[in-house]
Amino acid sequence: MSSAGPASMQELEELRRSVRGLFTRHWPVETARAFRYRPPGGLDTAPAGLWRALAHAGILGIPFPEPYGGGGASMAPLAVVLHEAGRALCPSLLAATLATARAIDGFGSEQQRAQWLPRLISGEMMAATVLTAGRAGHATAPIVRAHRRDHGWQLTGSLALVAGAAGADVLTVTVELLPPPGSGQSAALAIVPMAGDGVHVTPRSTMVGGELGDVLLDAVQITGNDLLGSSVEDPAPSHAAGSAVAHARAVLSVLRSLELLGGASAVLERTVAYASARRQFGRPIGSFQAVQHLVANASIAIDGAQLAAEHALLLVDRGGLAVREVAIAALTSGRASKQAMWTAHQVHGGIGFAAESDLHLWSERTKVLDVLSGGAGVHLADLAGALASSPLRPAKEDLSA
Amino acid sequence: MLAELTAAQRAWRDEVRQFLTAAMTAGLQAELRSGAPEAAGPALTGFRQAVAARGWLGITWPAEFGGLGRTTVEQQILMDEFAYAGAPALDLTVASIAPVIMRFGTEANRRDWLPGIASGAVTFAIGYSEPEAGTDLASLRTAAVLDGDEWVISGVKAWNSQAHLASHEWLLVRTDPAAPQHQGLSIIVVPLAAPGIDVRPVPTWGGLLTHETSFAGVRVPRGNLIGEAGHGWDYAVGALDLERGVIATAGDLRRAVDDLREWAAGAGADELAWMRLAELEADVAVAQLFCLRSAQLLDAGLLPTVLATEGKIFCSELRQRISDLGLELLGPRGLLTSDERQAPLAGRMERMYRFAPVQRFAGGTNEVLRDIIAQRGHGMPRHRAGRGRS
Repeated sequence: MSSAGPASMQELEELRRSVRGLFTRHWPVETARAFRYRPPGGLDTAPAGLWRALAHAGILGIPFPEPYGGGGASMAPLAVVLHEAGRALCPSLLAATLATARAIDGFGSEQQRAQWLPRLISGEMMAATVLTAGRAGHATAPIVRAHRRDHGWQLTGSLALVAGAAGADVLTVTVELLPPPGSGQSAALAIVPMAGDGVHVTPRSTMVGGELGDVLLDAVQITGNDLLGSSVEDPAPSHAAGSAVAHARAVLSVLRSLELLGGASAVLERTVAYASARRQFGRPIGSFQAVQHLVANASIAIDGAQLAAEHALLLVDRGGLAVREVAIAALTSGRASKQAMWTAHQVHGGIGFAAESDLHLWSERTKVLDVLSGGAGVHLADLAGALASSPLRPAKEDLSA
Repeated sequence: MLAELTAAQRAWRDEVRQFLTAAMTAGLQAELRSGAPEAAGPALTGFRQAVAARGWLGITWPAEFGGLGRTTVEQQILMDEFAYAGAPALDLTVASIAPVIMRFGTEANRRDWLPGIASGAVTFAIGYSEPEAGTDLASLRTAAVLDGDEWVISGVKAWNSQAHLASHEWLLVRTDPAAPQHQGLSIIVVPLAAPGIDVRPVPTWGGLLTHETSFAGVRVPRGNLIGEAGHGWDYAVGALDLERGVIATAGDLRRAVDDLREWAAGAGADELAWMRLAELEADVAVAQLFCLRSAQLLDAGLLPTVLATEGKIFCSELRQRISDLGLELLGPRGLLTSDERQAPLAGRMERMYRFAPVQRFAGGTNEVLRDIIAQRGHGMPRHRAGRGRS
């Protein structure tokens, strides 16, 4: 989508400092804690200030075209942004909003880009996403049915535990077009305003507090313009809408992987700091080889997964589905982040179990993002499918494709 | 930083592949499989000469030292492709010793050794470990005493793998017994043909032959000292750092998983087998990225000690898991050795399983490397007393 070349290492480090500073100012851990413990459905502590700050700094528009307020860069800097977001316990709407904007930029009509991108880039509108059917459906099977009605579509479906449901302005959701358009491709991406008639959100109490909620779409009327790649005049998608679904899913998966690894890095950093300060037997517990090896193992897992996630980001940025690389990134980042989290709890001992340590804020997000992604079994099945159906030496070819 | 190759690097990779396709003759493969490493056969000798003739032994050296001046990534590609093809690995001499001579050697050192290394005439056995000095390398006792214009060397070196093929020994010795442990060491080059050297073969489970090499009053010219006396530890450990940057190759790991995929497709493996192969595939991809990124960072002028160390640990432990699962999937016939015609994958998986333990403790044992990651990478407190480094 962009003609800008890859950012230099130095530019990325500057971006990292700047984004880290932004989160420190606008989303310190005290705020993240308050957000997590707000009353169910309470929107008073919604992170509107954080979104404004991210938008003002240009973060929400980095990889999008300049005419819409974007930065015209590649997606590579998003590796830094999502890493910092994960470190800072940023609500999950950030990754979902970026994935939504990327889908609109890549698969929307000119009119749709002009309609949505400026609002997403300016932070005026944040998006939640439901792109897969959850645990059982690792394919892009839609869960919401879209029946052709007059000049648009009528959506019906029940979505369980949508991340950021209560705070989102729009929902990006995979729908099944009924009857299927002439192309035979029945899956498409719909952008549904959360304030519209027939959209009902029920916040649920979960491991991460009230950030997840059920969404009921009860005969929600949308126009062809709310369906990526179609229009009011011609409400059937004009392109292979299925690719939009699959690509959006790939983008979101990679962004989530990077976010998980950012959280894992923060957790490991806290663990190292604690182990270096905590003294037992007359010495810092971090000087014990057993403790150091726990840290080293988590470090290896995180760094390896980070390389995999950055590689996957590079490939999906070019428009590819990169099934193999996306699955590897999701698998390894899920594992690494849980390993870091378990290591942190073990090294912290009782202190980390006490809520006042805040460690659990990362631990619970890690597992929630892991489960929402489908989990290791889904990623392995994706990868096994890609392996069985692709020619040999794919890794070498992909590394250099 | 991109996790991929440039067009020029791809062209280089294709050049290496073409060379290997032609050079890995049936005769060479038979020689490599024969497991008779006592002497290099004619095919292996020819292969090494062909590699040297292309200048590939000095691939990353600057042109002023007779090298090709290519990048670390290009060397990584070369090593990966060699490992993938099952070709004899590039000599460690090239990977770790020559850069030390370039960086720390005297003008005379460079003149004496670099041309011979580049032509393949000078090859080294690495004389670091001793029977009583393994992971605690700095406690080594082999001593060199200056007598007029000659060093007189006495002691025993262990795990001296290339001693039967190499022309010289790259010897880490104690030259100042009064100095603190790490500061009394020096590097001296010793011709293996010198009187007083005894090379005792030590066969291994992996089939690789290694040696215990003893030195009884061996005399070499004073000029065979590399760089300055008393700096041997820095040169040796510096070499280990460079070695880690370039030695970890995932080429053989990639090949092993590709082999298993080919086998699985041919054998109609079930879904469970594919799922388990998928786990290995994910890890091989990560292993390849560790190696490539480390090389890229070296080319960018950084010394990615922590990342390369993580890659070494990751690759070496993955090697065991791949060969373990590989033999399980292949079933009883996978236990056939390469001299059996029916051996699946020409016996490669059986051989890999026996070799796999080595990389995990060699080149810095993984447990000490984990200390380095924790201490250098994460700033955790040191737990060993009296160490000059890390």
